[in-house]
Amino acid sequence: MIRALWLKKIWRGRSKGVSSVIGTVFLILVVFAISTNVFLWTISQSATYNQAVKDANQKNADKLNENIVTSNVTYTVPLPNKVKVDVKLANTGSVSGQVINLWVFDTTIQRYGFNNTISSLNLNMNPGDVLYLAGSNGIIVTIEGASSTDNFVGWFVTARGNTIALQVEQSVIIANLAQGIGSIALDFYAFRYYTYNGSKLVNYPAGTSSFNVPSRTDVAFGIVLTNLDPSKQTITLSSYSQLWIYFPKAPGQSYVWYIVDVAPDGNVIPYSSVTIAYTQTKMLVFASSEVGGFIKISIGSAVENLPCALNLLLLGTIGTRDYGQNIPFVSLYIYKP
Amino acid sequence: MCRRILRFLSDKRALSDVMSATMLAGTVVTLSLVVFAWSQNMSSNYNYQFSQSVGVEVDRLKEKLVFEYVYYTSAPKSVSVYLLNCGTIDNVGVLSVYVSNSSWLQSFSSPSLKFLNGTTISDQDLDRGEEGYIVLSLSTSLKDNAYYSIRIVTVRGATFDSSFVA
Repeated sequence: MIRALWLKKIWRGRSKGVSSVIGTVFLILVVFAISTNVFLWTISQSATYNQAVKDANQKNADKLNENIVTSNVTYTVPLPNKVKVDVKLANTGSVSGQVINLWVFDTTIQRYGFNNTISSLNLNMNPGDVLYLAGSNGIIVTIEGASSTDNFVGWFVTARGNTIALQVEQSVIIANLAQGIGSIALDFYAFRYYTYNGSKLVNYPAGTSSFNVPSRTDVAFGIVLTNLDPSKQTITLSSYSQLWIYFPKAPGQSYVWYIVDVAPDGNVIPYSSVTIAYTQTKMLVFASSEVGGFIKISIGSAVENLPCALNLLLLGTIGTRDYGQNIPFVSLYIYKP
Repeated sequence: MCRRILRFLSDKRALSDVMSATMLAGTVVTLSLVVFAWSQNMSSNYNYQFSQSVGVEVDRLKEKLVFEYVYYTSAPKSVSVYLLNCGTIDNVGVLSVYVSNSSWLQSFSSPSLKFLNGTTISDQDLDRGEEGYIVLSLSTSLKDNAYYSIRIVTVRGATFDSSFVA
């Protein structure tokens, strides 16, 4: 109606006030267009900012939920200036994690080192994953001047920026040391003996896990030892290290097997040298009746169907000092095959 | 026909009213368009500045530096700060660093960033997932076993704090 009157007014030539109407309309249009533009733009920017805040919060939540724990941590120095860290990693959190760096600080000499190339070990862990980084998979960190007697602390860094302290457990429980004696522990359950095929040990390295050993057959023995020296030093065994059995019911009857080396295919070769680093476990083979050589030996028929005691007589060096240890407590029964 | 046209052209009745109305309307429309263009320009400038500031804030939110390790040595007097960019944005540069305790402060501007292997980072910033370190040479020795704070201000203006025991 108003519009019709306005048009009629113009048609009749009475155009007073038309400009103000047009101006007002334009003004309203301008204000509406500009305010809408600014409002919508502000809304979109606000949404962008809110999204960024959400993303940051999500990252923080993921970081808080990341929970990788360590256990069974041991520090050894197998080579000069090289600290080896054996550790068990478990992702007990609800998000996956990636370990990217390992830091080790030698508190004794106040030096530190890191290994940020461990991503090559593919330390990406889904929830529930467990990784054992021990033995050949242990992580090496270079620290100038580090030695096995030093004290260490360490921590992992994850890609989310969390740090995971290495939880060192009691490194040596004295009762574990071969029932409280010496620096080397013998694993009774891993005891085994071997028979021969030529100069090759049959079924090496598994052998025959038994405490019943045949007589009148050339045999050798496999003994698994772990270095648990409280001073964390490396033990080097000499060629005089031997395995000795003796028979309470047959006085004077005893047999000795000297330590030997064994090739991966089971071939026995004369002994050269064996070193056992702290916490390292190695299987040693005793096969020769001759020191530093290789002559097979069998148990005679005179002691058939008799039990005997087995002792391990270890000689060598521990660190820079002489070392000697007698590990007893294994019993064997010699049966007639 | 020609006479009619000439009569139409020579007829001046009510012409001034139409002209004035047209001119006024034209002026109003022109002014309105000018005002609209000016307002549009002003609002565009405002939008641009606002989006710039929002962008800066968003980038700052995406920045995340963590301190992998902070180590003080008394000889030479320096603090080594090992950093990891675990944020979601590249090009995180260190603008300034402050080492302080309750009674002392030393600032460092644009310290040299290096990779963990010791080589200098060419663009002097940390991209996502990159690790680097800075060495801050102190003017004075720090007290043994005293607690110190360290603050890093990035080029985008984000701040990250940590602490260490000398």
